[in-house]
Amino acid sequence: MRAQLKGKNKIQFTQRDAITHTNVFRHVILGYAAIGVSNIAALNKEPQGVSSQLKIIYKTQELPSHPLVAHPRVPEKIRQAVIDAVLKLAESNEGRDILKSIRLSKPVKAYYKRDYLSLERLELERYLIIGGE
Amino acid sequence: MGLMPRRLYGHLLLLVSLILTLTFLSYGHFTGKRQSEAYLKAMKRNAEVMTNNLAISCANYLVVRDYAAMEVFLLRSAELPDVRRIQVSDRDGKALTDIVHNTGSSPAILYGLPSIKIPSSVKGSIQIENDRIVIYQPITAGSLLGWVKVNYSMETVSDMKRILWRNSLLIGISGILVSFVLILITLRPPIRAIKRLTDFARRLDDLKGEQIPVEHSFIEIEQLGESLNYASLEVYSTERKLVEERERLAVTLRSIGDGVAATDTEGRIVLMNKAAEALTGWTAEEVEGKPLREVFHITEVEEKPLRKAFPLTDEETRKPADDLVERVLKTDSIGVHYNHFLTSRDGTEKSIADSGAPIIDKDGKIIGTVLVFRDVTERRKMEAQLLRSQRIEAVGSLASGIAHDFNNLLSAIMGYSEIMLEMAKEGDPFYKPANIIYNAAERGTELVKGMLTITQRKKIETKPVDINEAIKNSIEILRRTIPGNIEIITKLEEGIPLIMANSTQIQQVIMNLSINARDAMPDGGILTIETAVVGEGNGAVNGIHAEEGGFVNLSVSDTGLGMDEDTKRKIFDPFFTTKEAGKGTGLGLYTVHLITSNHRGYINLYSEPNKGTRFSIYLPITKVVDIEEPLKAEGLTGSGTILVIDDDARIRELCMDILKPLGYRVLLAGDGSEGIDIFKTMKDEISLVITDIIMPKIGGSEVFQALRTIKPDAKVMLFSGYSQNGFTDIDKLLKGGAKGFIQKPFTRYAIAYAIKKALSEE
Repeated sequence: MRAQLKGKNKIQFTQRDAITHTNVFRHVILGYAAIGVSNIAALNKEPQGVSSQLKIIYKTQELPSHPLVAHPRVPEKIRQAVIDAVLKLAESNEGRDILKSIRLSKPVKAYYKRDYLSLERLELERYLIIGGE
Repeated sequence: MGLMPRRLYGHLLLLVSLILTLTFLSYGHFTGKRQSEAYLKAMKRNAEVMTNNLAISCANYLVVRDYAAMEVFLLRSAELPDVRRIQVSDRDGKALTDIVHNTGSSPAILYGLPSIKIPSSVKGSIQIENDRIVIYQPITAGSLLGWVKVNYSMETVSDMKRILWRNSLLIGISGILVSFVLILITLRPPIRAIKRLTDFARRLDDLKGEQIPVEHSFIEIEQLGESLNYASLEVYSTERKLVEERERLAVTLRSIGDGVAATDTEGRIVLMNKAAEALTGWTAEEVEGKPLREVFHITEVEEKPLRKAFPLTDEETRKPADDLVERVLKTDSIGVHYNHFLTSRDGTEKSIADSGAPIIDKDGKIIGTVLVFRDVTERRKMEAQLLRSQRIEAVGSLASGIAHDFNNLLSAIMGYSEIMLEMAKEGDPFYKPANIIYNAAERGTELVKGMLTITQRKKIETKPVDINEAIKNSIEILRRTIPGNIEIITKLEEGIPLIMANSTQIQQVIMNLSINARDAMPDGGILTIETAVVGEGNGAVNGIHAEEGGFVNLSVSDTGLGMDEDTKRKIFDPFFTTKEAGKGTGLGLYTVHLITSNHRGYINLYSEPNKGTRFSIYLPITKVVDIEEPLKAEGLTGSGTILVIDDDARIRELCMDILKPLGYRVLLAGDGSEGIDIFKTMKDEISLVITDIIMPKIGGSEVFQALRTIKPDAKVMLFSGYSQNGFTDIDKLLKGGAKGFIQKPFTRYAIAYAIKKALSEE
């Protein structure tokens, strides 16, 4: 969002990390922040009492979910084996329950160029804060 | 007892229930209060600790401003059972989180709430608002960050109280039920025993004397049973005594000849004996509860001096007697009343003597009366008869005295007229007068005898009598007495047997009955005199038997006024008369009755008012005895010296004049002393002494004793104007050795015969 607002739209603002999406909403509701940034899924999980007090004023482009990634030095054979294992795991209920606990309830095979290349172009590392604010 | 049940079961159950209820209520109240206070205290303490922990935790979240995490944390904290609401605000009271935890649902977050009212000082507080514990706790981290406000529900306390109450109630009910069962189990045998004893006590009247088994039970019940058994024996014993006493009383009452009745104070009869039943004609069962006056109809005679002397009654002097019960109750007792008359149920009237007394109980209270009624009817009659007898006796004494003097006079008249007749012959100028004098004297003698018969019941001298002849003799006299308007008819049976009778008395009967008939026919009528011979059966019914198997019936009838029943009952009573005062003596029919009885006969009376009266006299036909042949004149002469002692000079001279011509030497003494003196000097010469009985100074009895003392075999004869029957001394002297008794007036023959007979005896 900062990449899009500051970098793309050139909008200046002071940012504060609210740690969690939910807390972002509380800050906005309580008046401690004028605007909160979160993802839509988090907002949708909020109860009606919270969401009814918020108003979406800007949406970013849609982004894929978090990927299960491997380091480049991991051999292709192993990577493929892990991919197959996860996908196979998702085929059974028991496997899906296991995956659900790590928030991968419906894994699909992703491709970097197709799915994540656009994010790279936003230069998100510029907004990375190490050790806090 | 009030509102308490009267049954022991109920009483005990209610009592135990009340006690248990109060116990458990008290237990529930105090325990619940104490426990709830303790729990509340602990709860407060826990709430404070928890709130404090929440404040500490919230401080962390507020420092990092992670409101969402704080919200999650508080949401979990609000799941605690007693937590009802958790509110967190910033230091100014702005609500940061508000979580509500309603009973039965999960905690929920409230959004968009206004600010929270926070305490004025930075200090926590705890208070109770609307059954909730409300705790304010500051959130600090070096400085005040905010406030946490927690509402704790006290429902647990209430629940705990409720549970405690419920448990107490359950325990109480259980306790009551258990107590009920225990009481039932425990008390059932004694209650059953009490019930049996109660039944026994109720039926004690039927079971008295019996014993109820005393089971081993509570000592009080055993004592009750023993007491009942004792009471049963006592009641039995007492009742038996009462029954015996009552029986004794009943027997006593029954055996009492007098009527006894007991009443209550209202005068109602409660008891009456057999004698009273006989008196009243009511049975004891019939009169129970009836007023006494309805059963005992009592009248009385006014007590007048005349009535006291002559206790005869009539309706004019009768009046209802005072109420006896009232008199007893007023005066405590009543004396004996003799002038009362009781009319029984069938109308019979009886003379009674009644008396009464109150019945007093042990407390001195009058509870009734007891009255005694004595039937004195017979006594009254006897008293009346006694009175009449006394009057007759008085008259008899008078008559006897007169007869004595009369006999002396008649002795002289009869003796000298007889001497004159002896001296004269028919045709002499004084023969007829002497004869008339003699006959009159003889008649006078018979009259005196008759008078003595009435008064002294003298044994009559009888001889064969032709009753038809006696009637004919009487008719001559009657025709001069009966007025002309009365026709006299005689129907005399021919050949009627002789009867042994005293002709003078028989004539007296005829005369008396005829005079009565005359008086019953003041306006004239028919007087019928009949004779007939009737069979033995007529007398048999009266227990009178005729030796010759029959009776001679003498009937005197009139067509006069007749008599009612009352008069017929009294007609033979002495001195009873229906004639006007001064006209009747009341002795006429009594004399008839007496003479008839003396002749062993009886009388039938038939009379109807206004139709007439018939008296039928039945005299038994008896064997006629032979009459001793009288001595001839020459047989009367004798010899010897006769000493005559009499205070009457005429008698002495008469004896001299009769005996001297018959050949006797006669010595005369004017009284007993002179006679004894003469006898002393001439005892060997005197053949016989004739002495009067009644003389002044020394009587005939003393003379007899003196003469016998002088000469034990002295022959002494007695004579007197008094009859032998009327003078008991004569019998004694005759039994003592006297040679005989000559009744004055005597004939020449009588005295001569008696002397000759006495001298001929050894």
